[in-house]
Amino acid sequence: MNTDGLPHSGDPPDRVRVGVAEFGVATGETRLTTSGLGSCVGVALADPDADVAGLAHAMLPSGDDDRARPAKSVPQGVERLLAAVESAGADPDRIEAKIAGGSRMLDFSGVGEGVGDRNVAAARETLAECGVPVVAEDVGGSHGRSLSVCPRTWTLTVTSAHDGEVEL
Amino acid sequence: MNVDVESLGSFSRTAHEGAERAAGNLTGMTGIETAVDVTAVTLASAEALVRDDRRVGVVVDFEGEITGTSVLSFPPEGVETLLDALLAGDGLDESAVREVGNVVTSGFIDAWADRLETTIDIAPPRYVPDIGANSLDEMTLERDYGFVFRSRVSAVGEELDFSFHMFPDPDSMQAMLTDGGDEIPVEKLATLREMAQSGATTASESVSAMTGIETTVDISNLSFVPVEDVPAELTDRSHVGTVLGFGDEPQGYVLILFDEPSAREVVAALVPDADAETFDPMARSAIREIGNVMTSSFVDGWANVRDTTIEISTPQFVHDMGRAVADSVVARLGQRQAFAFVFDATLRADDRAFDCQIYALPDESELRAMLEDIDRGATAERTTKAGSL
Repeated sequence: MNTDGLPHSGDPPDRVRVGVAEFGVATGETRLTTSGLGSCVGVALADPDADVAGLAHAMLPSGDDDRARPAKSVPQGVERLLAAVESAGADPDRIEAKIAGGSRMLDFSGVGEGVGDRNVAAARETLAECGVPVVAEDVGGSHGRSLSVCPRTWTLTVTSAHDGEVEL
Repeated sequence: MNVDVESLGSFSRTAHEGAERAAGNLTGMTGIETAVDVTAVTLASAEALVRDDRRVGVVVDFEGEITGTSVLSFPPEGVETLLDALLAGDGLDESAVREVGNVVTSGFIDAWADRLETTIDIAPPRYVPDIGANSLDEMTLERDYGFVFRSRVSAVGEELDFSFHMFPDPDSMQAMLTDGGDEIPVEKLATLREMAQSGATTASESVSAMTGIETTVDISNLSFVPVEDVPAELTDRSHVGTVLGFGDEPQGYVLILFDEPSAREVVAALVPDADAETFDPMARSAIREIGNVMTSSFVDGWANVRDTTIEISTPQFVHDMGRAVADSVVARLGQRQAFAFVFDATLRADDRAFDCQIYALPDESELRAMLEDIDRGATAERTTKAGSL
């Protein structure tokens, strides 16, 4: 069913929730949120002058193409988020990044060892390749985080049981 | 009936796409932003619809390439939110909810119709004021050994969570899930679910024996989900518990998570001198101890079936958002597989508020080993009881 003809479909939402392996883009006062980041990494991008921001909740340091979940791997998530932020009106030369997450909550050896650190490294590397500066970060540690990004103020609010609320 | 794992994965994606459309339709009607939390293929979870809390439902029969019944259900608060948003006049509640049910269900069914390149007819929606055991019988749902597509959608900043269950009839299921090479007999999955259920019961008995808090298994499911959907099964409220790996790699994880008040009760029962407010080292060690015992009880049943022992790691204490704990587990599991079979159980106490959730996530190799080892004789017997499936 096409939702265009339904009432309300033109109102901008107050908040856009971003699930695991997904990304979202918003403008103005619409906040982007994601909850329960553990070893996954959250990447926020914005052009502060254009009031445009995006947020991805990426899960794996590398991986295959997965169209259903566009931000499953960090490199693809960052590239797709960047393209989406640009098509929403961000100037590529002004885009900045803030990253959070990548904690090491569990200490098991084996195939997933240090996945949090590797997610953060992959985010930094992909952003550097795309020429996007990382202006703030809150990564690592052994605790979970929830994120909220406001495009208008370009504030990344990180909430955790460990540090309370921190604004980046 | 055998099910093909590839088909399960691809149908799980169609179900997710349907949930996205349904959520979009609801947003279009009400102006309330919604998001899809979870889409899972669950083995025989008609019982999960029958819960203590009252839920208002809209039941829709559909017919075509796939035939079956769907149930959309809301908690009563959700219905109030809906009616407020729709400005329904007095006495029109039922028809307003039916209309919402119609529009939302169309979203789900359209995704299936597109995927199968066909049309699927949907019958007029029926309003069910309280989804419960009687209604299940009225709906003549396949209770056993069938698959159910389950989605949960929640609203942003509003009380408007809803669940959608789709119960295809056995013939449709057969057509949908058995066209590939990599097949698992569905009876074995049913056996796996029974093993996990009995493991959860034993774990619950261990809690009762250790703490004196009488607990029982309230809900349990065996679901097939994209790994990234697992965290949304949990809330972002703070939980206290343990994560254990089993096998040497590890080949899977068991999460035992209490809500904070329940964790404090457990600590008070086990070590009255510990500081349960801050979870001091003594309290943490008590939580690790009970997590260890519960996990051992839980996997013992599996070990018996496989006629082997299953090594479990030392328990790791966690005190964090439930979702963040699961997020850390799936970031590990997701390196090798896109989907996981997840067993979950909720333990509750009869005489007080108590909430403990158990999640078991074997990795693909472990799951295959378990399925290999499930005794074919026992499977055959169950097949007979289950009838045509």
